[in-house]
Amino acid sequence: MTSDLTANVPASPAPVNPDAPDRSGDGGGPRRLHPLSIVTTGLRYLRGLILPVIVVMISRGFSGNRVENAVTFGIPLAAAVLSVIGGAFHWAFSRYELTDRELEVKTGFVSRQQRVVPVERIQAVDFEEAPLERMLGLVRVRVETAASGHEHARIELNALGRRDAEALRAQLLTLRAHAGHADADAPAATAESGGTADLGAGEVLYRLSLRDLLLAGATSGRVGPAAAVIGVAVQFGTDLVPRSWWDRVPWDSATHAGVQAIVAVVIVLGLLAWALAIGSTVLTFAGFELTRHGRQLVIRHGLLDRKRRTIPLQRIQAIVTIETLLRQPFGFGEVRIESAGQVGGDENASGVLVPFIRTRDMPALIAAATPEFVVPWDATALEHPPKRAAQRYIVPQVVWTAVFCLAVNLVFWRWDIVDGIQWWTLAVGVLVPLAALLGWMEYRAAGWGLTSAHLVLRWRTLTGRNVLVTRRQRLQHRSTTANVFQRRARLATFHAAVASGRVGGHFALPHLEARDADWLLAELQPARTRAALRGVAGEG
Amino acid sequence: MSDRPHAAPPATARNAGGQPSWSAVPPDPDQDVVVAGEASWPGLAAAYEVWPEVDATQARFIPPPEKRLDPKAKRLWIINNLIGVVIFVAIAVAITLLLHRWRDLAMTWTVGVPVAVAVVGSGIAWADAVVRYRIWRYEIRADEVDLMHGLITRRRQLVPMARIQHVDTRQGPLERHYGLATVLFYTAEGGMEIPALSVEHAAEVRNQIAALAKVHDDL
Repeated sequence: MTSDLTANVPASPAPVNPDAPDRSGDGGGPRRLHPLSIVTTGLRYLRGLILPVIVVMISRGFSGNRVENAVTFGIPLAAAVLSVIGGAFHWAFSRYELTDRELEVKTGFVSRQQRVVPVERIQAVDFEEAPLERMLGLVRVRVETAASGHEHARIELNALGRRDAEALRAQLLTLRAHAGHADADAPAATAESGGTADLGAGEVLYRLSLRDLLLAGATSGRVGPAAAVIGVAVQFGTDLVPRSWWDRVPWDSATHAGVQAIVAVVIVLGLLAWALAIGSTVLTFAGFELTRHGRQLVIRHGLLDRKRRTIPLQRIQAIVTIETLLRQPFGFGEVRIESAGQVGGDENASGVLVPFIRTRDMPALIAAATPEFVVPWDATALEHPPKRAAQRYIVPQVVWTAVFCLAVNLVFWRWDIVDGIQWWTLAVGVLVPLAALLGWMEYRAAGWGLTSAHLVLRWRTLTGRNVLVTRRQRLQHRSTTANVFQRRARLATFHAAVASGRVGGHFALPHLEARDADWLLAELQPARTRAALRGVAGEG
Repeated sequence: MSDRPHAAPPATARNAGGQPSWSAVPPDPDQDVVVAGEASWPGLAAAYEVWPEVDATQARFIPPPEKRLDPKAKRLWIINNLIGVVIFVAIAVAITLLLHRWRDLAMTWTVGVPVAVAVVGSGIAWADAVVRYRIWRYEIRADEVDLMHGLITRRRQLVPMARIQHVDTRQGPLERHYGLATVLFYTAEGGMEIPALSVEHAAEVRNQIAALAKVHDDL
């Protein structure tokens, strides 16, 4: 890929700083975490102990015996003391050291652990501050590496002082820029980012206003999970209500009023779920800010847990814009990035470039934030699956929905949940034309495009419309699949995979003209990609 | 970025033969994969005759992979499948015995159903292994690994050498008995395998991939 990149990026005249690479991290050998990490680590240990402690306390119960009671109350005390001791041990036996080639972290008292990460493998540097940590001036630092989704692919430094953390981040990223010999633009990058320690203020590319924040919450897909939470809460709530109260409810006489009450309760719970969704969005994305410092993107967000993620531009594998059904009509969407170092964490936030943005502002944002992923023509110029593929998008949807509707009615009828066949159980059938409509929309949305440098895929799912833009050389592998029916119709599904720490690196576009799919396979060969990029560079 | 519009060509150009005029691809010496004008076939069509007319003048496709697995793969897979059949038969025996005990199922059924499961299962086990062996193809090219396999869903997969992070061979007990091995290779997004190669050949393929993938680069 070295040649791919050099072919693509205009040769940079900036000279390599000769003395830069041998400046080691801080020259001072191994360093400790901040002493106050004893408190924060201890609290985290304690948090892990809370549940067992409560269980033990409840199981012991309270007897009249004074000694017994003292023991019972001694348990949480012991847990607290143990946590603090654990925190102290963690602090005492943790060291980190940054040399000019790698970050080395030693932890552990009983089983010593030593982890070494070559600087050029670093994908992203994450900062996290919970409220207490912020008060104490501490930062939790997480360094993510490119070992697709393994839990041990990440190094976590529990608590550094803010200045140490900043310094570490700056050093890591500068060293990375020097070490990444494959990044042809690395010297230019360091020059841009001000060389060494400080990354400077950077250019603010996007901020989320309060109005946008609330809108984002109101249209977010978090309503589903929120409803589930409320459902569980209601379940618990009903268990807590004494039986005698339930018996007082006039269930039998409540035929008409009962239905009204149920509808009202459902509406109230729905509104509650909605409010919860808005609230959780506000918690996650309040104060969202995307800045660019030379070749680094910095994403900050969070009301209580402040998060700051720094991603070198070269690490971004693909951009996905998502317009959900709720947001598309209002002209809003979300932009996500696929980068190889995304490991776990908050699934909703880990891949986000911008959580909420006007669709028409997306191209400008992508141009400013990730210029490598600007596609020079507009998305309507995409190629589409052939007309005869439309039925393949529609028919399965309709069939499965019809089967579901029949099953629902069968259950109602067989188990006498309602008297005979009611109009409103049959009304589930409206889902069938809706499914057909969805299938049609999926067919209309499906499209692909190939430029000399990019692959674009567009597809729709139940939730919304997605557009993937990736660079040709970023593809890890690609394939076509065709089942028996597709082969008879000379259709094939095209698959592309980019590196992603999560499971989400695979993208598929179903029911293309088989020859188009095979053509894509051939056109994305490394040799052709090199040639295409050379062609572009030659003209430029 | 001087990225001039270079959209996909119109369908006619994609599907017709020869080098279409839209192409910005100059003749490339190290493009060892497809020579313009050379007869080549759409990959998925190659091993599947249902596809009616294929224009032999098309040169826009990668020729299908041609190397096959070791013929002993058939025996390996038959045994593998038969293990599954044994489990099914055991389940069938358990169910019919229970039904015989509690529901007075006739003895003929109690014996007949497991026997039928065994017979049909063995047939499927045999057919699956044989057909799967006949379909499996792979090719180690200079810049890519090319795989094609799959009975009901046919998959053609291309993995650039530059994306392969490591390769190894693996041998299960059954494979060891037949002197076979599986080559596994991994990219940053998942792993793939070439199963049932003879041990020597597997080592050869592994070393070949390792050597070709050595031109390592950054993600």
